Parts: sequence; C-alpha cells; structure tokens
Amino acid sequence: MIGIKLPKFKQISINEIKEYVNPKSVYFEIKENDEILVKENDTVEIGTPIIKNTKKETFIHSSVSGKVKKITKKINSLNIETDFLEIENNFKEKDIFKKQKISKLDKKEFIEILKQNGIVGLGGAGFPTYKKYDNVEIKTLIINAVECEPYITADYMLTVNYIKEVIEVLNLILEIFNMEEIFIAIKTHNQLLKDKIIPFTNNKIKLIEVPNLYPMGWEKSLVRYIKHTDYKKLPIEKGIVISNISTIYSIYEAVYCNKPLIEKIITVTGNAINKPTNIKIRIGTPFNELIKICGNYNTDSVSLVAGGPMMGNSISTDQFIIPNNLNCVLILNEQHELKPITCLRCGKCSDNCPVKISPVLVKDNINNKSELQRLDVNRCIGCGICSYVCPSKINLREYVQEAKKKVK
Amino acid sequence: MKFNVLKGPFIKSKNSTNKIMKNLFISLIPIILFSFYKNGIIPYVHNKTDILGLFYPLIFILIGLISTFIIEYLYTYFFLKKRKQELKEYIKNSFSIFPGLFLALILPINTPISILIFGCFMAIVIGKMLYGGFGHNIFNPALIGLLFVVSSYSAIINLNGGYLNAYEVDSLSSATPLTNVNLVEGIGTYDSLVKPYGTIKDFFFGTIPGAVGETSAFLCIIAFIYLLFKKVIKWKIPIIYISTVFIMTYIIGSVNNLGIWYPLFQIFSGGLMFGAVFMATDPVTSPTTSIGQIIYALFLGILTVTFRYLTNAPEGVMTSILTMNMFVMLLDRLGSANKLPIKKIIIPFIISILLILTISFKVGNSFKTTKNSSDSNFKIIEKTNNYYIVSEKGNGGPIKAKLTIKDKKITNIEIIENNETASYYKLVEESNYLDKLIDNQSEIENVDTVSGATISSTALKKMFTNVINDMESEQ
Repeated sequence: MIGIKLPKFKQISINEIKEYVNPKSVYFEIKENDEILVKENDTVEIGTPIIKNTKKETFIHSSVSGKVKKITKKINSLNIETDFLEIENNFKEKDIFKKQKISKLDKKEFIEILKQNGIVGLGGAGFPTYKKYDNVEIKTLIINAVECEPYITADYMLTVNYIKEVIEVLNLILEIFNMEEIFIAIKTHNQLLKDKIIPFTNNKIKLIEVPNLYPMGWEKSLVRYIKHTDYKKLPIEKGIVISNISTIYSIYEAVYCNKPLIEKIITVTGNAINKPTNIKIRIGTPFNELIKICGNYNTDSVSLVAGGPMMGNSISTDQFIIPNNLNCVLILNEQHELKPITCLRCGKCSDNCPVKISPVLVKDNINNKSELQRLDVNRCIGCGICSYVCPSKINLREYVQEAKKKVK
Repeated sequence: MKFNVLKGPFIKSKNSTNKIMKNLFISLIPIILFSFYKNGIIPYVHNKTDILGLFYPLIFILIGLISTFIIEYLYTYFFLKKRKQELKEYIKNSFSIFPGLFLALILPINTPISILIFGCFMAIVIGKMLYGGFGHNIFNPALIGLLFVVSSYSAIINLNGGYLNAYEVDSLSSATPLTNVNLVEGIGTYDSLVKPYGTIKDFFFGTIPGAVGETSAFLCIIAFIYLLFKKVIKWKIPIIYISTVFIMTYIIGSVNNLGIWYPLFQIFSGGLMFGAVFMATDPVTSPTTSIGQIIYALFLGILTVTFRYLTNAPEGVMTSILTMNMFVMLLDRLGSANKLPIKKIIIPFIISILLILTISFKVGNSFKTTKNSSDSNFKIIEKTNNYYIVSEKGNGGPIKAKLTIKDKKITNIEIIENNETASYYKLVEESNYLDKLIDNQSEIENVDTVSGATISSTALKKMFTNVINDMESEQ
C-alpha cells in the first residue's frame, strides 16, 4: 500500500455550511484560447455564458447578475497577477434554478448538458467533465469522496448535506451509460459519512472504504485499490472514470436545475483564523470578502495557502480570486520555513514516493541533466510527501520541480 | 496585515535528524550497560580488578565519544574557520559523538587509550571531515578508525591482552571464538568452537570474549526491534545480511554434518550482529533505494563469509562493510533506474545467488575432504566380541591400543604402541585422561582435551568415538 499517515486537522472546520452569495464584484481569469462572449457595459444575468475556451470548448458563466466591466489585473490562486474580466453585481438576480422534472436523457444530450453548463472536475485539475464522459464504453465510475489532504472538509460537508441529490444523479448516470458499477470511495473510520451513504447503496452503487492514507485520493491509488489494476495515462483505458463527489453534485444541478457551474463549497480553515468553516461561494469571489464570515484573522502575520497543506501554494495577498477548482484556503500562523540541515541519506523520501522517484538522488544530481532524465522526474505528481517526511527538513519537492523544468 | 510567502508543504512530519540520532543513542544504551556488566562488574565481583577496572568500560566508551567530539570541534574551528553561531550550529548538526562511540564499542577492551584516541582522530579526519563532513563521507567513519587501529597497532593491543577482559584472561585460553576457527583443524567441532566459551546461549547473550560492545547478539536484536519500531533503520540491510550469512554457513555446516549450532555460532560471533544492525545501516554510507539496499546486504553477506573462510582475517564484517561502502553510489543508480528495467536489476540477484551457492558448497566440501582424510587415520586391526585392536594417528605417528569391551562398553584401554613426544604424553597420563574417557564414554564430546597435549588427547578421543560408533553400527 502506497501512502503515509498524516495528521487530520479536519474536525475544526466541520460545522454547518455557510453561504456568501453577495460579492460586490466577481472576476474571471482570461486564459489562453479564451474568447470573451460579452462586451463592456453589457448587462448579464446570473448563469449567462461570458467566456468560451475555443480549444477545450468549455464555457464560463457569470456567477452574479450585473454589469460587465473593463478587464483588470488581479492575483489568481497560483499567486500570479493576470487578466480578469470583472462583473459588477447589481444584486438583481432572480431565483431561476428550480428543480424540474426531466424527461429521459440519452448519452449525447447528457454530455451536451455538461458542456453547456461548464462542468469541470472540481477535484483540482479542472479537466472538462464532458470529455471524460464522452467515451465509447464506461464500465465503472468511481466517485472520489476521499479528500485525503488534511484540513479540507468541503467534500465531506457536501456529502453529508447533499447525498440524496448525488445518489439521484448517480442513478441517472448508471442508466444512461449502462454502467456495471459505481463506487463511492470514502475513508475508513468515518462512521457518520458511512451511515449517511449506506441506505442508498445497492448492488450497483457501492460504498467502498479506502485506507486513511495520503495520497489515497490520487486517481491511480484509487484505481489500484478498488479495481486492482493499473493504467498508463488515463483510467478510461480500463473502462474507468473517476469524478469528484462535488463534480457529481454540480452535474446534478446542471441536469435537474439547469444550473451552470457558478457556485462551489470551499473550506476556509487553519490555526490563524477564528472560526474555520465551509462556505458556499460564487465562483470568482475575491477571497478577502470571506474573512468576516470566518471571524477574522487572529494574528496580523499569517501564511495564506490556496489549496490543502500538502499540494497548495502560498499567496502574497488575501485579495486573490477564487477559481472553480479551488476547494480550500488555509490560513496558518507560520512565520518562516524550517531551516534545512545536511541530508542524512536515510532514504525516507525514496521509500515513500508514490511514483517511485528517488528525490534524494534528484537533489544530488540537480545539475546533471542526463541523470535527471534517467531518474524520470516527470512522473512527479507534486504530492509533497518527500518534503513532508524529510527529517532534515529539506524541501525535496522544490528540487524535483526544478528538475522537471530542466528536463523539459 | 502581513502575508508570508512560504514554500509548501505546509505541514512537516515531527521526525527530525536529531530524533533519529537520539533513538540511535537510546538503542545503544543497553549495549553500553552490558559492556559495563561484562567487562567491569563481572571481573570486579570476582576480585580480578580494582574500582578503576570496574568503571573502565564506561570510561573507555566515554573517552571515545568525547575524543571525536573534540577533534571535530577543533577541525571545524581551525580548518573550516567557523566561529560562534555558525560553529555552534555546525557542531549541533554534525553528530560527532557517534564515530567515537561506535569505535569504542568495536575495539578490544585492552586497547590502550592513546590508540583509541588515534583511531578517533583517523575516524573524524580521514573518515569524515576530508570528505566534507557529516552526510558526505563515503566510508563508515568508525570503521575507518578501526581499520587504522587494526592495521597499525593490533600487535600492541594483543600484547596488552587483546579481547579478553580481566575475568576472561583467567578462565579462557584462546582469543575470540572466531580467531579460534583458524586455529582448529578442519571446520571445527562444537567442542573446539563453542564449548570453550560455554554454550550457544552464551553466544546469544554475549558472555563471550569479543570487542567492548559487540558480543551480545540478543541486545543487538533488541536494538534492531526498537529502531524498526521507531522507523529509523534501513531494516532490509541487517535482515538480509544476517540471513545470507546464516544460509551460507548453514550449507557449509550441513555439508560437514554439523548441527544448527554451526550457523548460529557464525552469526552470533565476530560482531556480525552489531555490524549488521549499526554499521551496515549507517544512513550516510548505505544505499537509499530499496533495491540498492537489498543487493548491498546480499553482497555484505557473501563477502563476510568469503573473508571468514578464504582469508586469514577472521572477522570479515569490517572489511565487508568498507568494501561495499564503495559501491553505494552504483547500487543507488541501479535501484533508481527509470521504470526499473528488470533485465538490468536481475543480473546482480542472479550473480549473488550463484555466489551464495558456489561459495557455500565449495567451502563446505573443501573442509569435508580434510575431515575424511583425518578419519581415514583410524584403523581397526583386530575385532572380537571382547576387544578391539585399533590404531589412530597421533602427533608423532600412529597410536595403537587394545580396548576391552563388555556389554557394548569400553571397560579398559591398553596402549600398545605410541610415538608421541614423551613430555606431551606425560601430561595425558598425569591428567588421568584415559580414565576420564572411559568414565564419560556415553557423552564423550563433553570430555575436555588435555591442554598442552591437544593433538595426542584429541587422537585418543577420536579413537574412542570411532570405536563407540563402530559398536553402535553393529547393533
């Protein structure tokens, strides 16, 4: 079994899901191949498509009703200043996303709904979901509700509150694709979550408990554990599709309520904020507007992390914009990094690497390009275990990332 | 409001190099205390030493670790020109007490203090600092220290008493059990290898002569379990190393019809356990990859057996580890290969298995022939229901004797002809050795040979054993 035990820190943010639906403005990052579908000073409704990516054929929808403003510079969740399209909220949105009865769908119609509503994978990578499902034959669907990084509870809270909706759409998907089985993967020893899901399981929709290890939520680990098989690039090679449970919930909203991807649940937590909690937010909200809901910072020098503690990255301002694939913001009372000392060569980084890279040897050969190629550093998934386990506190992931750039 | 931009991951394990070293030290405490018991308390209780001798083992170890600390401190101050905070941090993260501590534990107790300090100096300067200090050395520093001490001063150490502590000097006649292996004829027997020091149990618990802290296999196993539990040891190395030696010596033993005691004797002596648990697993000088560690350990085992049987160096552990230290980089390269090319990796495994088998059988069989030839010295000249007339090769030529038999028991022995040196044979006569053999013929292995007339008395014993075997085979 690949993986390590990590401290949890999850309990602190488990309470109710709060809502923040009134941002003054929302911002949408303009990326490569993006086409803006609206003009300055246009008035848009909530859910109006505003940006189309011509290459991926995905849409981004306005998450408030309001006026289109100029393109402005803002900080994104990777701490890079870049172009954003601003929509100024006029607070006149109508509640148009009511649940409707739906007629029978076929595969094509289903995929078109995903495409039109801009559904992307919410687990982190942001891969267009319609592409995942647009495959000849899907035998197995794995619902990833593992959430193996510490601190994050967004998927947990979503599952606890919306399991009925999730199951409803899973039954629909099962029917449309005529799948063999659906697994809902959760961590072991999560009795409350188990009790919530068990009543809905049957011989096709199964609950599977996976070990409490990191990175168990990594797709390869899940496929290995559940289906005892391995794939090269994508799980569909083995007839498997993996979706995050929050993606499934957004599919539900798209199919039953005709609601595009404009909202998501995000965990705001850490030891430097007074009330860690989960908040349902409009995508494109500047993060600093959420601070009040979380009871403000409890110190005036913090470290802000977009993402979980293992994979996330540090951000230099709290005015960054929340994108659709961010599920956690950590606010930690950390002032400086631990000072690394000489490598002991204990080999723990190599022992624990889920893709079997030897980070210690990458570090030794950082200036030797051919050796780095031989070590196949491109396999790195950036899980951060090497840096976590290092007794000498060497940030080995940094070395591997640097090596990745060098061999490109 | 201040936002600190830091590099992730933002949680770190509580494990630290400091903790690893602390655990290593804790695991050595029972071994240090045992050395105090064996080399200090026992001789003191038997009135073989004074109060200084009682605490001498502890003083010896303390001098070792303080020496390396001071030598490294001075080196850092004068040659690396580090001062104040920088010096303090360098020393703090350099763990300089360990080479001295280990060196003291693997030296004979009678090593003069000046030689111990010389070894510490070599360990730190040649073994560690010249490579760039902690984490950069290729060879195990303590073993480098030992190498210099053994190669330059082993004669002085032996003159000074060698491995035997004050109590052992009076009760034992020869040096360590493994040096004894080279002295006995052929592969040796339970009598010649284990018996002089007690039983296999003594080997296991460590009440046998040997270096200051490496005699107790039991405590090494306890330390291994502790370090395994604390996850601070490359556990594959000692397990595979010891298993390889065990398997090879088991084969060698079985070829010569020796019992399970033989491989046990081999793995419990010569500091193998201590070397495997503490020296071969030194993180800095052992491979970091799993496959590298496995091959490293396999070859450690093969080399140790090779050194023990095919050279005059009885110990073999130090030499094996230092030899394999040179290949660590190569093994890591192999173990970290992209997508693990099975073809490449399988080669060292096949080679090591072939080596294990060929060396074991070759060594085993070479001893077998010497044993057979010595057995062919025994001749039955005449045999009736009441007596045997036999001959057995002694020191100066054949010994002929008539052994009277009653109810399948030897009741009397009469030497018909003997060419032994008179002064030696006199010792046999004086010690009533023949009577002892007759009295204890049911457990003849337990009869001690006559010191000073070893070959003559062994020949007589063999004569007895062969006659008894012959009588039993008649049944």
